[in-house]
Amino acid sequence: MAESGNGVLTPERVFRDYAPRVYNLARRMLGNDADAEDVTQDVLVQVIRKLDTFRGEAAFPTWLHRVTVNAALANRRKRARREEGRVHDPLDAFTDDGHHADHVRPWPRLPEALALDQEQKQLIEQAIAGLPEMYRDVFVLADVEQMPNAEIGELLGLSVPAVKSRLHRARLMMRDALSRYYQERLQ
Amino acid sequence: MMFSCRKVAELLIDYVEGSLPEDQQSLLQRHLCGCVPCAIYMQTYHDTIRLTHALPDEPLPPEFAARLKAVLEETKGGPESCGK
Repeated sequence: MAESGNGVLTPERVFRDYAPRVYNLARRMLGNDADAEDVTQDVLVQVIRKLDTFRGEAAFPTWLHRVTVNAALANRRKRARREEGRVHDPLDAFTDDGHHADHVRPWPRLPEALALDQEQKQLIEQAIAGLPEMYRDVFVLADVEQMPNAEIGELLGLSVPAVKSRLHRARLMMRDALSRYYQERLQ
Repeated sequence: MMFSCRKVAELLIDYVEGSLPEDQQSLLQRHLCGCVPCAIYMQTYHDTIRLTHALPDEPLPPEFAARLKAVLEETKGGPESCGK
């Protein structure tokens, strides 16, 4: 039986420990629950079928990430979704001479030990779902899954500078979305 | 040379990961000290990363968990393998 580095990988353990990770990664990349369920099921069936032959041991989570990302991308290609219209660039919010075009307002101070409430979780999930796909993939892998940029580049077929560029744009878009929320709350 | 606010925004990803060359870092820090909007922009960029890092995984929806368990039980691994 295969091992994951800290114990034997059984189908029960794959279901218990890894199904939520696969599901959440797929859900955040694809932006909808039904597609995420399809991908999760496909990935876990594939994993359990290959469990006897899998020799990655400690590399199991990395391998699982790769399989999940590839399955999510394949699901998206199958559905042939397309980006609508021109993507808003947060760096357009500067004047021609490089100043902030709008007033930049502070957010409430975040506590040191950060525990998100339901409203904050929903807000962040919605903001992620609102990102254009090309930025969302990189953002989810980098800032939610906290994968290294080089690994993300390898998974998505991008250079590291391209990963960083997309990640930065995605963070700026997320910052804008969260700013709108905090401004409404503070008014 | 002075950085514009837009230039500061462009460099934030390198600044927060500490990969800016020393000369650019000191120019950026000097700008942040004298520009309240950019200081707020930088803080909220950083907060965006912190908030996202704190995002937990949600449990599987119960109906999907039950369906998935049934499918996996039919898959190689045996019916006893996914627990009840």
